[in-house]
Amino acid sequence: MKREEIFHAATEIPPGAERDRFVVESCGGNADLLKEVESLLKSHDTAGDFLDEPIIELSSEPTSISPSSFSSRAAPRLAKGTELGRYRVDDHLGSGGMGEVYLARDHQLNRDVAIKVLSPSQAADQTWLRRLHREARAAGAVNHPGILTIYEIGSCDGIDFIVSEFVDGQNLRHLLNHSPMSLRQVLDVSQQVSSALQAAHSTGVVHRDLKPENVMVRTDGLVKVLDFGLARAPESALPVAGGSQLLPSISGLIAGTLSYMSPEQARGLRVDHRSDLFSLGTLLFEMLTRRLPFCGRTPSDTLVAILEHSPASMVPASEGLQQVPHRLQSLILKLLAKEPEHRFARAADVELELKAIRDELPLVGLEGGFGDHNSSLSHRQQPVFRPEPTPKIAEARTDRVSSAAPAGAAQPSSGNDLTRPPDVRYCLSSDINIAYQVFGSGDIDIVFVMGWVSHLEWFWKDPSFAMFLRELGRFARVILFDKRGTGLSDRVPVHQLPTLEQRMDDVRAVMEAVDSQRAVLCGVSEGGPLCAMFAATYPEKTIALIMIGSYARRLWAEDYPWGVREEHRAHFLDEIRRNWGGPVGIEDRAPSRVDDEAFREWWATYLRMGASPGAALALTQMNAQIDIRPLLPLIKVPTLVIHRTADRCLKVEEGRYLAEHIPGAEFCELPGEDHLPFVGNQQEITQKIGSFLTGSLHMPHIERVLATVLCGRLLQQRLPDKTGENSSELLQRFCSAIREECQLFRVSRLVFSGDAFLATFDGPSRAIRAALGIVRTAHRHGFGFSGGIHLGECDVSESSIGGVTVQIAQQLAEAAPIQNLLISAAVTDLVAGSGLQFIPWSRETLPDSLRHIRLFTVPR
Amino acid sequence: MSDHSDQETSARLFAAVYEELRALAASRLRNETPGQTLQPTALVHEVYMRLVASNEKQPWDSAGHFFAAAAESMRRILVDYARKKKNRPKSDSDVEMCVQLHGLRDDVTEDQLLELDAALAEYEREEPEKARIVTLRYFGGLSIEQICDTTNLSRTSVSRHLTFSRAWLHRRMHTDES
Repeated sequence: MKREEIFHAATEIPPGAERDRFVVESCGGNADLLKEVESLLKSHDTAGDFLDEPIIELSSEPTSISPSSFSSRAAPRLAKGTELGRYRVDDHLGSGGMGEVYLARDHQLNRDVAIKVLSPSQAADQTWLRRLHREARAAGAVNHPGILTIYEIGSCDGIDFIVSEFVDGQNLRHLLNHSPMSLRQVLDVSQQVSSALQAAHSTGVVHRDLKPENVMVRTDGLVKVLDFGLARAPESALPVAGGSQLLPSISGLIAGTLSYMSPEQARGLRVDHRSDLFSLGTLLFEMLTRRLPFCGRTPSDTLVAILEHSPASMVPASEGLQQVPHRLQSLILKLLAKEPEHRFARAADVELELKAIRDELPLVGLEGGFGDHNSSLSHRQQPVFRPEPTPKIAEARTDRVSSAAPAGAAQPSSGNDLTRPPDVRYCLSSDINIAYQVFGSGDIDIVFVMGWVSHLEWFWKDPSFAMFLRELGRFARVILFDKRGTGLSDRVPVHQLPTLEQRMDDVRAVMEAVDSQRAVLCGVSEGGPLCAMFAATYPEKTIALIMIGSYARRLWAEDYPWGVREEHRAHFLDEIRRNWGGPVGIEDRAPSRVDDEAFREWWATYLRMGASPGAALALTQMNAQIDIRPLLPLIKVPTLVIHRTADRCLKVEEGRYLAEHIPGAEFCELPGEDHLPFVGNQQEITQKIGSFLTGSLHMPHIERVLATVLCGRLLQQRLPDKTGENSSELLQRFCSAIREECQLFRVSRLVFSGDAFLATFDGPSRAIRAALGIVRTAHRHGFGFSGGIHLGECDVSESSIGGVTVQIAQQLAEAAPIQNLLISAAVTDLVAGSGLQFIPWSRETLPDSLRHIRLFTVPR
Repeated sequence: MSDHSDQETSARLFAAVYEELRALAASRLRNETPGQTLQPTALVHEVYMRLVASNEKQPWDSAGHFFAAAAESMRRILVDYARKKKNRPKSDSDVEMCVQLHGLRDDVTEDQLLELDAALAEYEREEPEKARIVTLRYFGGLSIEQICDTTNLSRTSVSRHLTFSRAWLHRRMHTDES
């Protein structure tokens, strides 16, 4: 330790006699130590930038700055009055992500300019400099008032710098930190930014690093976007001038740049102009809420949030503010879509929409901040998501059902006014009023049934739920209702809460009321069994069945081991008794949002408004009785079952069970542990539903792909049962171990059928490694296993794998020795150098069809 | 858990990460446009995300564990590359390997890389903890913050370790030459 202590202390002293003396004294006559420390210090002094930066270029991940580069930034490099060619430095404006910025005077043209001095490491990076020149020229060619004009990229006395127009104003970060922005200001700034982006995009320049620090607002309100195409992550982690005081809790420095990245950027994929639109969405979100839509405790968490999570809820910046208008919310959510193709196509479209939103603002009562209580925003608070309404149909349908409801007469343009929420209407089912909503456009109808308790109007208060519904509304007319006894439907005595049969009647009544002859029944969780029962009972009224995170039976049974045990159930009932009013069950239903205060509050309110404590308790007890297993084989309509792999509320096996027992059902397993479909990767779900329904995208079309196929056969248990577990449980455990093993090596497709399974992999060595893992696992579980691996073209559809390659793999699996693999040369030839070892296998014992193939096993 | 199964877990993790990185890098190559750089850190993150998403129960216990494996993978990939490139005529392009160098700084030669690797191997015997930090930083591209998270060390300690390691490695590499 001593040598290090002396070394570190000495590095604090500049090289020279004083340091030498210090070292000699500290070593106290120990010659070896002295030599050691001196040589280390010598290396330290001469190492230059050795190891300072990682060997790999960091683009998505900001890095930190070594202490020495910090200190060099502490004082401006250029003193006042320094001459740089024809420029005279007048003032130090600040140190930003891109380097130090000075106000300077251009003698020749007699104007003020801003000069940005590049750090030595920037200036040394030739690739980056070339790009800088290219982009600066490109951006410079864009003559737009909203884009900072770059005059020159120069070099003088070994200093590299960029000269640009001088903007007298503040950057947006500063404004956000220091003064409240009114809704009108937010719209104004973002409109100008969109306009600047459009101008740049149309010349092929992408900004890549749009964030509040790069947006200047001049004192006269004109907005200038800076640093087009200059993004370079390592430096951007530097603290920015004016500091970000609103974000310090979120991992300080790092949050800044990472948080504005688009998913494709974070993945290191190629970005296009739509990446800027994502960043614009983040910017808008932050201007309105003073929070970031995606952020986590660590950079990795933030990255995961950007890639996987839906945005945080849009709660306005301070208390007492009105909600963000829903049309603006939808705009932001669209900008924040994970897939570029789901965002706006062009910045110009964003600009137009922002303008429209701005035009809709009432003229009075808004200037003092958009949260002003006097504002007349309240009537716009509820969202309507009718993306492309077909007015005629919409109106016709409205006419038909509007007699009981207040027509939208208060609004001048009721037919297609996007800001109006779907009206709540009522219809009678026997003598009970059922509340329902209808919205969206599309040729088919979807009856969307939430599980447990619901509240129609509160659906729309959570942006992610609203987005989910809006997406459904893109390809279908969506029909929502609250089950009797809950939400806005008539409350009924607890003992009259509906059975599944009664709820089917309610569905029929609602469908009749909206003149729907046939509909897709889409049920979430406990809504699933209802929809399944409806599909089995009224096939003539059912176009298709979709079950999301659902089940066939709620409670555990010997032949249904995934259900909840009685004691768990009792515990949950207790939880309802004790804590109804709070966000009951949120841990299992929306684990990814469990720390999101706004979401917790929304969920708690949703539950409270959905059902009284007594009703919630009774409904939960009723749910426990559900067992529709005998019905499943009777379902004859096309069926899609969606389930998240790690759904915390209902196990993925329950989804698989449904898909396996409903004839012809398609099973779609998605990653994630959330139960509620609109929490987490909701887009994958809506897309899956969309493609399932429209059929155009994913009609069971068969694709030929090159793949490595592993066929595995499970043989009879070899060892006597020592544990007392029954064999089906053991088999299940083994199957899930196989699944895990395959997933570890990124299996592309995995299909079990009887005592065999088929798996395809992108790479041969992955298939082999997975198979080796399975052999070991089989041994541990006391099962026999044999596998065949072949590579070639396969016919692949969403639910099946076929073709000659598969047949050969199957034959290999049959011919393979127990606890071993038979692998074709097509596979082994490709893994040379992987360290995997093979033993040639005699062809004598093989069926004729395999004799022409060279085969190998693996050493045992 | 016995040492043996710990080792097996680590070996499996390393194999998985290594395989993922290579495959991902190779697949990226196919979509590469000239002039664009690969971003190994982004790759590492993506691999991490995929591995995490692929399996509920991870064979490793933390992101730190993963990043250590990723950094070590990256080191081996790069050193392998440098070795191959050195021993090969220039015209013989190794496609898969090419891509992995896309994101590299061009001011580091193969020789320097190999020397560094050798020096680091020696350093590992003397100062295993510091050597790991160097690997995380230099090959894994982790920020100081992330290294702090991964190693549970303070920022100051990490910076000091890096400074010291830098001097040590620099000296080792340059004494060899002279």
